[in-house]
This record gives sequence, structure tokens and C-alpha cells, in this order.
Amino acid sequence: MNALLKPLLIVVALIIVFVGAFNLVAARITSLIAENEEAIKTTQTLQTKLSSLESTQTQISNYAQSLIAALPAKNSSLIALSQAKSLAAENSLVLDNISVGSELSDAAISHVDVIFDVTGASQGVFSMIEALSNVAPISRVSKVKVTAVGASHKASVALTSYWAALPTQISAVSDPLGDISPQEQELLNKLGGLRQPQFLELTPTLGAGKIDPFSQ
Amino acid sequence: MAATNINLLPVDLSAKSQAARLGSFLKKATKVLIGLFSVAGLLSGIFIVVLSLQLDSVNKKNETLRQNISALETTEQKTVLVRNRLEKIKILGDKDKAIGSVAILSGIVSSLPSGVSLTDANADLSGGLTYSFNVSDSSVLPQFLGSLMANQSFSKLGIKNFSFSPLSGYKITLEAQAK
Repeated sequence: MNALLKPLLIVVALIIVFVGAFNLVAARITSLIAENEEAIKTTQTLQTKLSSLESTQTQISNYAQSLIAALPAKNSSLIALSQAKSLAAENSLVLDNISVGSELSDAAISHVDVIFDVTGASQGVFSMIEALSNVAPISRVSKVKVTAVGASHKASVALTSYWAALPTQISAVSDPLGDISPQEQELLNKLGGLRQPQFLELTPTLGAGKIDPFSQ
Repeated sequence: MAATNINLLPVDLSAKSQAARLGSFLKKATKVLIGLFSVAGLLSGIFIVVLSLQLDSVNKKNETLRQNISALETTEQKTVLVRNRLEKIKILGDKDKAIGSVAILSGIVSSLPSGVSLTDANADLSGGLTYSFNVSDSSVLPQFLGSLMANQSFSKLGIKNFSFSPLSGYKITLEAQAK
């Protein structure tokens, strides 16, 4: 009976070891296959991202510039006012009664109302108001009141100008960027055609300062 | 004459022989199992090594790609900025109805017959437009109103007020909704 027990125990032990080792090896192989698949997916994403970056490298700077002008990072009321003043001058109009409302913000976009009057020939007034839809920063005419003033017309315009904070973080290297759709491309072309402002940010000018009376 | 098998061995000896056969079978099974175990282990080992090498190679390739992408960080930042601005601009939409109303009004004013003048107009964000004209000569009134009715730029057009003053003539106030 002892002679039978020993080989039987060996067979049973072998089967147990075999099953245990099989489980370990199978788990390792499954994990490696999953890691490989994940790595290959990452390769595809990275390759797509790299080729997308390489192909848009030259264009993206122009797009970024025109989009920053279209939707600035800070309060755009001064830029909008500058554009209105420039358009008024081009149409031989008098721009006055300028006032700027308070900032209104939501999570994505902030806006401010810029209110002004323009007076001059009716066609000049209408041309100027129409031209406001093609200026950067993006502005919407929320209200227009036109009144006849003798032979000319006066328009009181409430212009809503928008801006939005810049993104503070970029996505992870392995995150896809996403392609620009034809609609977005059309929008980009349209935004690129907006009348660009003379300035985006006001920088302090260095003046002579006060004369020191004791230095003489 | 048929052959007859006669077992002259004692019963305990016969049982011992069966146990020995079973033992011998178990020993053979042990050898076969060890053989199978070794082959399976070897194949699994090769498979694991191949997979590990493949993973290592793909990871190295990914690392190179990451480095190349990092070298284009400025472009990536600008791309993120472009996407961010585009999403926000899309929220704003591109329809400025007040300006649309002003454009329609501009078209009307540019073709006004003599004796008709625009006195005031109000346009709002919803595309609503209220405008008043002064008509000094009644003979141009049908032509002027006819041209307004023929204007296809409005989805709605109605007369809000119609009055007459001997000094200034007719005053017509219209309410319209741009398409």
C-alpha cells in the first residue's frame, strides 16, 4: 500500500503545482497582452497627435492670434471702444456719450456693455453699425435706437463685448487633441477675417515724469 | 479441447501485482506530467519573453513620440488655446439679429422715395425692429407702403401707428421682425 501512496502523492502534488503555476503564468500573460494593447493604443494616439501638431504647426500661430483678438483674455471694453471710434472716424461720424457698464461673468464667458452715440449721415451711421459685426473682439449689438437729428441721424448703440479667461492647463501628452471640423475651419476663416484691433493690451508709456526741483 | 486458465497463486499475491501495476502507471503518469509541465513552462516562458520584449519596444517608441510631442509644446499650447476659444465662440453663436435689422433698415432708407424720411428706429437683440417714417407727400404713400410690403427680409411686419399732422404730414410707425 505504501508503494502505491508515494507515486499517488507525487502525481497529486504535481497536478496542484501545475494548476497553481498555470494560474500565475496565465495571469501574467493576460496582463502583458493587456499592457501591449494599451501601449499600442497609446502609440496610435501619440502618432495622431504628433502628425496633427506637425501639420498645423505653421497655421496654428495665426489662428491663435486671430482668436485671441476675437475673444480676448481680459475685459475687452477698451478694445471694442477703440474699434467703434475707428469705424466712426472712417464713416465721418461723431462718437460721444460713451459709457461702459459693469462686467458680467459666467463660468465660460464674461461680457460688458459699451454704450455710445454716433451722429452723422444716415448711411454712414448704418454702415458703421453693420461693420460692428465684423470687428475683433466679438461684439453683439444688443440695442440700437436711431433718431433723426435735422438732416442727419443719431444712433444710440449698446454694444456687448465679450472676453474669456485663457485655459490654465494643457491636456496630458497622451490625450488626443482632436481634429478641427469643417465647421470649425469655416469659423476660423471667418474669425481670421475680422477687423483686427490696433492693440490687445494697453502698456504703460514711459513719460518724462515730474521734474525734480532740487536736482537743479 | 478448450484451454482453461488456472490461477494457482495465492489471493494476496494477485492483489499485490495489481497495486504494482497501478504504481507503475502512476510513475509513468508522473513522468508524462513532468514532461508536459516542462514543455508548457518552456512555451509560456518564451511567450512571456516575447510579449515583454514587444511591450518594451512599444514603450520605447511611445517615449520617443512623447519627446517629439514635448518638443512641439508651444504648438500644443496654441492648439489647446484655439480649441478653447473656438468652443467659447461657438457658445456665442454668429447671429447678430440687431445688426441684421439695421442692415434691413439701411436698405429701406437707401431707397426711400423723396418726401419720406426716417424719424426714429429701435432694433433689439431678438431681431425686433420698430421704425417710424414721416411722409410729407401723400402721393408717395402707396408706393412707399407697397415697397415695404414687398420686402422679403421680415418674418412679420405690421403698422403700429398711423397719424396725420397738417404740419409734418403722415407719420407711420411699423413693427417688424427680422427673419
